Amino acid sequence: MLQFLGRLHILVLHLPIGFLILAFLMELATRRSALALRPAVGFSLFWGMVSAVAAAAFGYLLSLDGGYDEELLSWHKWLGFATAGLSVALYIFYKKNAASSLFLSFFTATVLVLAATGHFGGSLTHGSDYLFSDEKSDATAAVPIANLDSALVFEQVVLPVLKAKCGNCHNPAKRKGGLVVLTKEDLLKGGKNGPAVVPGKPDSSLLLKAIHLPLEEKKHMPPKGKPQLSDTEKQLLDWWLKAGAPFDKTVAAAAMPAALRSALQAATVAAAPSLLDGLKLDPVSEGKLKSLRSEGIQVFPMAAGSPFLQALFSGKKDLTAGQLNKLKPIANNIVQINLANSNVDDAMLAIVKEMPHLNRLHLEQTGITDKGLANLADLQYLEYLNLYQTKVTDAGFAQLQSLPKLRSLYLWQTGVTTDGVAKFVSQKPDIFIDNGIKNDSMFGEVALKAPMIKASKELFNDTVHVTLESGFAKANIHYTTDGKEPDSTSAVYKEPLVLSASGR
Amino acid sequence: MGAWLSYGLGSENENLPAFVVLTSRGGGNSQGLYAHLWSAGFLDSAHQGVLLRGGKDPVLYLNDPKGMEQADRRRFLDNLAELNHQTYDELGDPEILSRIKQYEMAYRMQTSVPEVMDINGEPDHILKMYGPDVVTPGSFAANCLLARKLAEKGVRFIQLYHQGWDQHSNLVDEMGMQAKQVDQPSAALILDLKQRGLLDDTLVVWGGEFGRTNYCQGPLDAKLYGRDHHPRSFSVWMAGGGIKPGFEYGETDEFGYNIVKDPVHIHDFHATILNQLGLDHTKMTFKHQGRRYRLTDVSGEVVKGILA
Repeated sequence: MLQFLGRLHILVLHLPIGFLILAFLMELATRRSALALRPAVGFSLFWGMVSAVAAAAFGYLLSLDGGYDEELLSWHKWLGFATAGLSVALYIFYKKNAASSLFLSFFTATVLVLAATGHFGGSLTHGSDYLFSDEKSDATAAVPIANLDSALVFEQVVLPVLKAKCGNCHNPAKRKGGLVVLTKEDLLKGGKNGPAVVPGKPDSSLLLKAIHLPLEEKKHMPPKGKPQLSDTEKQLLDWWLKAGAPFDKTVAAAAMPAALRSALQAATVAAAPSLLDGLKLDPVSEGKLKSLRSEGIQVFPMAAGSPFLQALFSGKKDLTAGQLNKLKPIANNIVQINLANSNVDDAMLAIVKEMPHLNRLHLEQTGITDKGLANLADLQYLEYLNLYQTKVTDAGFAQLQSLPKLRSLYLWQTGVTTDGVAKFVSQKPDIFIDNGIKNDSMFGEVALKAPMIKASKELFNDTVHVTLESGFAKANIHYTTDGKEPDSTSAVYKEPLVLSASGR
Repeated sequence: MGAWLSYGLGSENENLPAFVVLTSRGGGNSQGLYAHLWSAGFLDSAHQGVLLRGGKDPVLYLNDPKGMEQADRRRFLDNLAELNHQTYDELGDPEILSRIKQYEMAYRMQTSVPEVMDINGEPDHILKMYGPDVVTPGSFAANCLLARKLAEKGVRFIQLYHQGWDQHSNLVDEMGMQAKQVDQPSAALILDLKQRGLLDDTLVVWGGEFGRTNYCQGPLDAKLYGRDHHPRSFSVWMAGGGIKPGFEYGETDEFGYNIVKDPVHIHDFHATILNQLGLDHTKMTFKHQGRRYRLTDVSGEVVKGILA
């Protein structure tokens, strides 16, 4: 019964907040404008007082259950009592002299104490960093694993699962059932029903029991309605406990079964983290992008909802420095710019100096020279640079030395030499350079189809115009009109023939 | 898929459609190809694929008729658009606006398309790479080369159909012929995109809509046997576009009859492709007849295991 009343705290606690703040607003309105709301202030205040006392009492009962962070709880408890006490005093004050300015000051103080109580209460249920943390999913964000074999079984594989699926209630601030799952010590210690993890004894480990109970069961964890463990995650925890709950071993050393390993591989070793993943930028408003697009500047988010932008100018032969300068206000967000096959030149390329986060740059088929590459010197995030069919030479490599992250460089049909490429690769070993196919001898010759012979009519009296057509304009057509098989020494077709006599 | 991408991503090049279709005839028993294969379905018809033909006249009826000049065409279109707008104001059918847009696109395509479809500007070593058929308009090789050119010009989705894979009989000869027609051009397309640095942001997908049985259909003859349709398991390959290279995903039993590991449903496949193009398949929807539709309907998971 007491436990039931304690749980009513969650319901009742919202009432004094509403009643007291409503009373406060009506009091302000009575004083500022001539709205005669004072009788209503008393009514609202009365119920505020009753619900505040009830909330404090129920809250006290709930706190007896335990499982809360002691320090936060103590603040919340005493402030809650203070709110209840203050609201009673406030109601008595109201009855005596509601019009005095002291009443308003007293009322203000009560509302402030109420706010503080609410804040600590919120911290108790949602965690103290709930209000100001950037990402709600912080706790679930698993650290990407580069290599599963060398990953630590507990820290990098098991813990992220516990954190994501159990950590919302079983954390140091909330301690549901006295259990915290986030460290080795806490798991071995367990909660009020005993240790959660007994190394090597999966059958007596409460953790496994809780997750394998049917969903309808009251003791099933995570509780119905909360995100459940996936099959792979359950298998992982089973194996981990059976293997003696290794805390410090790597996956390879702990001999994980192949099936589980490949399932985890697919689930955890997702895409290699991109350089931009850790980067947080303020998004540019869609309105701003739209207005730029209406001016002919093609800027789009990299993906739906992404703060990163791409700018597309490929094929534009009438590009001006003025147009590119319009990118300046959003330059911080641009991670990709495509200037391929445009009239961009070394001077216009200066715009990329404004783009500190530029990651991919398309300059292929432009008039860019070694000199223009100097504009790229400070691009700390540049990973991809396409320079094919430009005028860059080996001298340009000097300008690219300072790019720390450059990974892919395309240099086909430029002035660079094989030696120059080899030298640059020896200086920056993790770079990939595509210099194009230098040797086409592995491909056979193209085969032309027989040309089409077109005449204006089949039978003719005096003369007829005959055209010879090949699907391929660069092909030479040799012909004879005497019925012999044409070869490369025969006449070359240049213009329609006029025939005046039939062959055979 | 092309229509959905046109809807989701829009066009990168205002002079070319976002979704282009190229068809080629193989040596096998050709079946028909119908324009509804690249229609926009219930999406706005502005997103439907545009079929480009090989040879001199890539789009039928695109050129001005004899005696009509470019300026005449312009005036004609302006007046027509005015009439169409009047009708739109009256009826409010969005298809009318699409139609105006289509006429305008066709007008711009009169110059942009012949330019992009002309392979005479390609150097010899590139032509050689695509194989002997490349100078034959309408061959798969020529279409692969054109696909590269279109991709360079910013066309979002280029779909190549190569006909003639339905070997219910006479499989040995026909399949050999078909494979020869597509093998070198497909490799060349990847190679060509790669040396231009375009393979990083271009996804090449090669596949069909079903596989063939592992057992024979028709007379059991060393040359003349055939295979029936087999939709349970079949393979596609993908290159570039952030897909992990050089490995296989999924497994069938030893008879190739059914899938035993890592199945990928068509919805998963679509979800993955959309993901690689920066689209969340659960968020890209189109409202039609009172319900929001997705390309992946109500299922589909991104296949993380194949992402680089």
